[in-house]
Amino acid sequence: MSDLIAIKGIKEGLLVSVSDAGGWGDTSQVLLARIDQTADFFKGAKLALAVGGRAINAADLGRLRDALSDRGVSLWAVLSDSPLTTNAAQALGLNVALPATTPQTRSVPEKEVDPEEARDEAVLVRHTLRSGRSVRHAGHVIVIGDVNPGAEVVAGGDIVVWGRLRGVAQAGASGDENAVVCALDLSPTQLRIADRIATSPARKGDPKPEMARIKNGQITAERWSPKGKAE
Amino acid sequence: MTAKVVTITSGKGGVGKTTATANIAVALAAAGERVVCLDGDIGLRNLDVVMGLENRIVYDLVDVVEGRARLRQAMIKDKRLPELYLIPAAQTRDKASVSPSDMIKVCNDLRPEFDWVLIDSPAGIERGFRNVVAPADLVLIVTNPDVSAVRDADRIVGLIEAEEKGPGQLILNRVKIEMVKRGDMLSTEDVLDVLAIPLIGIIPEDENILVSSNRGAPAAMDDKSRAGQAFRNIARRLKGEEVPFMSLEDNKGFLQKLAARLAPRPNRSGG
Amino acid sequence: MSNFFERLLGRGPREASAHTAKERLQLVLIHDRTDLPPAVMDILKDEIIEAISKHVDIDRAGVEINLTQTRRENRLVANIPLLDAPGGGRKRRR
Repeated sequence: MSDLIAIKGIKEGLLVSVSDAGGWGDTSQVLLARIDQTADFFKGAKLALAVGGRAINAADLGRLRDALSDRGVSLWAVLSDSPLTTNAAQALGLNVALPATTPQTRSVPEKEVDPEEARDEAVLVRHTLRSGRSVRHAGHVIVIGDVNPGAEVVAGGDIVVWGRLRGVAQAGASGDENAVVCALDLSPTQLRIADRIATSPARKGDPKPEMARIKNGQITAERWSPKGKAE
Repeated sequence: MTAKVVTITSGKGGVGKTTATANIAVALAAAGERVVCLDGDIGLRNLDVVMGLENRIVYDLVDVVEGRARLRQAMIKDKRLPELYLIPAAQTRDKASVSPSDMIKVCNDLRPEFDWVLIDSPAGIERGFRNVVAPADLVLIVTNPDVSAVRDADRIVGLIEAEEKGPGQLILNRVKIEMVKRGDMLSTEDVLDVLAIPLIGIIPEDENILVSSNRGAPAAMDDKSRAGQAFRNIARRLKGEEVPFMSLEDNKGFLQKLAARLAPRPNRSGG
Repeated sequence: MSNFFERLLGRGPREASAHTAKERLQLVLIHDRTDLPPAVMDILKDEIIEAISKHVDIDRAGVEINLTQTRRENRLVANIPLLDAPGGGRKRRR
């Protein structure tokens, strides 16, 4: 049983890694039992949990966090290759990467991916991103929903928001000056493409769909029209 | 009849959670409901002061959780209303003294004896917040019509949605209608545009709130207070009544727009 | 219900609420700083009366126990009226 779980000390507290094997219910029970065995060691600890490729939803993560909290352990990060788990952790306000020890903070997942390939991959988010949420991806990001003030989208490729973009958007994050940002309502608090940066001017009238891109060295936004926008 | 546990939270501090908890509790109790309030702000208690019960404290929530007192011993009965009780927070401990399952247990012990358990939340999103959300059947989110308060409220909505306690219902507090008309304050529509959750109450800025707090007699007891009236309306909506929103001004257009925005919402939000 | 305030506090409507607030605040802060919950004072008062009554007759109704504050120094002040012993002479211990 004990090889299901490995515990390591890191700068930020404890890093607990659980194997991919077995159901989440059993694994979390084993983890809690292990903590109960040496309760004093764990009391007051900050814990980062690495779950590998496991897909765990927000409700289960939330329950684990509360159960750890009951034992005086504070769960602050969940590391996973599974986008479901990463999304769930983020939604709960947990970190999804360790600071500075991982080489890049620009993209998730952690698995090795050819940068060229990743660049063409798109991530689709099918809900509104509320304040505090952050979606980062080496490729394109598409959001069906709003990006609220206080939320951010960072993409190596393009960003398309089928909704209102009112947070922070950074496209072409690895330096691609051809990246674009599109939204049905383009009103970001901050917009970046490659290394250029811009903020929204005050809106006049009702919002219309727009695309922002770099033209003549500057970020400009243009109303979307079916003609003349073909690349 | 088993109680409904309602947590009142906000993210940002100072927007009116404690005032809202006290006033909604008083309004419900005045309508004959059996109400108990919990002050979830361990270490910085103030629900007792806002309710004017600060000099009756013997035991507090941490005493109950740690077994030094029974629930009944820690409950302070408000003598002004038939069935209104308060369990105060501890002042000399901190949020780590209580865990989410402690709170769930306390609320389960309270459920059979009351109609409503109202929990006042601390500011922030750390353990204190999670403690008060854990037992909640319904979360009310208090915000002010200003950018940072709304942003924090949005974060809270995201967090409680993730924990499947969402979406919560909104109390928009400290609205100054003249400033909204001038364009110097976010309107209710502006706020609902971002938060996109059902609205359960709009509380106008009202000097009586401070006066009531000075006296320890929540404004919901005072007929002359507009804020008090707005809190009484929230209590009615919580009970399932449809109560039209108070006219904060004479402009019909505002109300009609608001009514249209709320029309598709399910009945339970009060409409 | 609008007379509620007045009936509740036994004060006229003119009593400035800031004055009430200040009084309440002073009391609340002493209790916070000394970690002596307010209602525990009553229990404390009864115990003090019992302890003192063992040795000397006191006028129980006239006993006052108060918390006072000078700058940030807090004191528990007991003011206990003594009764003359019947027939003079030292009270015998019970």
